[in-house]
Amino acid sequence: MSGVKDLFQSRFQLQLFLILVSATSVAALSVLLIWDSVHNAERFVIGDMGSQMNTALSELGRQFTYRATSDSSWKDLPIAARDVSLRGISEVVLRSYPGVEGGFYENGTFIGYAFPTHDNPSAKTEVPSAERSVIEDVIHDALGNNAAQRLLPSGSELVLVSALRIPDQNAVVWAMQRRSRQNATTGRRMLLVALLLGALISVGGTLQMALSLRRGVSEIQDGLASLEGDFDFTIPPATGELGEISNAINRMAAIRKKLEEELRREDRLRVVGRTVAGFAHEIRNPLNGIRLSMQVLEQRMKKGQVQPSDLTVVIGEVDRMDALLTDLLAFRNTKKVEASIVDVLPIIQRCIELARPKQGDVSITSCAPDQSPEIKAVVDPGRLTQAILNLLLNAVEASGPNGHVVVTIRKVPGRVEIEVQDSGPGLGEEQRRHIFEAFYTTKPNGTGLGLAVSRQLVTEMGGDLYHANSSEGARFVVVVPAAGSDA
Amino acid sequence: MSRGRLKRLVVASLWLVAFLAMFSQLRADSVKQDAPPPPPPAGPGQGPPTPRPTDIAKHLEDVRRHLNATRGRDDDSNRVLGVAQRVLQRAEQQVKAKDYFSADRSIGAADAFLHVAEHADHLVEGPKGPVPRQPEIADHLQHVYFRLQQADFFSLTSRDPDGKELSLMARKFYEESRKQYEVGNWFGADEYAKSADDLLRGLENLAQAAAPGPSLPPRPR
Repeated sequence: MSGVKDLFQSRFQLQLFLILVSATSVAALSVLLIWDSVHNAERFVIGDMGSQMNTALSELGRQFTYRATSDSSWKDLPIAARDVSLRGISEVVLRSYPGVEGGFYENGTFIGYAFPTHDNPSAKTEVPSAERSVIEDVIHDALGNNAAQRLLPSGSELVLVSALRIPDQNAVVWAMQRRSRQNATTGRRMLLVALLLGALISVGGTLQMALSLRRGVSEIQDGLASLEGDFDFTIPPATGELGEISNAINRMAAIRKKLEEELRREDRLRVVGRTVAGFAHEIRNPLNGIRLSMQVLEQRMKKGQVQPSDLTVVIGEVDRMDALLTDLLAFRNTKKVEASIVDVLPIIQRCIELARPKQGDVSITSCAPDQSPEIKAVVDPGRLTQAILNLLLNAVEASGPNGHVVVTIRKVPGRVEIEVQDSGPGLGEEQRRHIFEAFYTTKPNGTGLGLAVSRQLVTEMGGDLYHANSSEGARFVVVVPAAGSDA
Repeated sequence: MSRGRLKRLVVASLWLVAFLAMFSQLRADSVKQDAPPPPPPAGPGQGPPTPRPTDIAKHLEDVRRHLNATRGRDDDSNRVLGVAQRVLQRAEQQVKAKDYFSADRSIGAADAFLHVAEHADHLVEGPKGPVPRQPEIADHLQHVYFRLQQADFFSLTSRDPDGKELSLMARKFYEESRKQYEVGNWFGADEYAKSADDLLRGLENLAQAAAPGPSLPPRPR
């Protein structure tokens, strides 16, 4: 589980790293673009002005050509008359180009000047005197090269002059536009600052989302780990999709807890029922024996033939009930476990010695690890002795005539295993399932408490007792904490 | 010659030279002030010459005769002919005042208005020759549409009392031409487009007549 968690965490960290790298790249790219754009803003504005003016010049030239060719006598009119006609053209055409002024140049003369989008167009009837010489220079360039454009050096303004020679006409059309440098760049800067802010917000949002996701997933992971041992644990509520997952897990845990409780209750009822049945059965047998003995005693008393041996059976049956009750009390032993670090080898030897009177022709051998003078474990010696003795007596009984029992002691990291293997018929599937239940027995005279008591004793010491599969006979393993281990 | 006397003579000579230099500078300035003023900047005062007075008088007579012989077919024609009559009278006054440039432009305006009335006649009489094709009429309408946008400028520049009315009439003719074009009446579309164009040409001439005429050539230095 921890491996999976580590893997998940490292993968998540990788994703987080990739998100960070992407976000940082986006932010860096944005900054680069903004820096580049701010520095190129003026060039962009000049390009826009040039493009706008070229369109205006083309339209002016087209209208000039139409006017000149649609009326052959127009060219012979005095220039004052043609000036009015061409101003009519400039007024209409340049109305669509805010900030653009211009007109025509013919035979060394400016003609048809207009600035219709000026704040006071009626006052703007003359070519601006400050730029007149530059405009003439640009026009002369256009006469030689068909088109010319010049950006005037100016402190606070961008002034662009363009001129275009009108094809097949001895005339040039020109236009001029001025824009404030500040206005040209301020809007763009604001847009770019907004872009930068947007990029920063998106980077921050991405990070926040990634960290929030990380925190949420971590909480769920911890919650799942806690739920493994504590059904009452509830994952803290969260918002969003992770919150829905947390709620779903909490609902699942609640359902699982409920089912678990139901199963336990049913199991308890089943065990109690079987215990009561077993106990009744075990009590009835001696009671029957006592009843029969008492009936025989009654008849003999009538005949005056009572003998002391007649009470022996009764006493035996009472002893048997006493032993049963002793086992029962051991099953629910409330005596405090007195665990200490002891060498288990002598305990095993003592158990073998205690079992010897019952072993008959069954051999008991023990195997301990080589070069291990002692194997220390944290156990209650009395409880361990009782548990191992129970197992040994069962093994002897199950092995039958000429059988053999092998006790193996193993030291594994953190624990000590004591294995009791017999040479009997072994356990079937059904027997393995119920073997540790109280009053479950396969022996004609068994009480069904031995293994249940043994397991109880071992688990109270922090160990375990389980049945292991074996190709020959039955094999039970007692596991106890080794000395020096945390368990 | 004694040494002190020589010194006094040198000083006096220097004073004389300085005086003469100062006088010559003053003289030069006074000569400059007497020179003719610089020529006016290049502008609309140059170009082809204004028609001769005799040509203008002949043109005026031709238009008058034509105008007298023309009768309006409808209200618009009568209104335009009335404006032409008034403009022609103004041309006569301009001739008398020797303002030949304005007179020439005014006669041109009256002539253009006269043509508007003639187009109304053509519409009634029907086509007498080949009718322009659809693409030519479309081109013409495009041009008239642009000219209509100039109408306000010409009307304003001409300062003519009928300028606004003539602008609106030109617009009406243009819209009528569009209608005829849409129903496929090429002859009607052509005549109405020409009416609008001539009205606008008349307005343009009136605006030219109101413009300052050719200025005098610069005086010699």
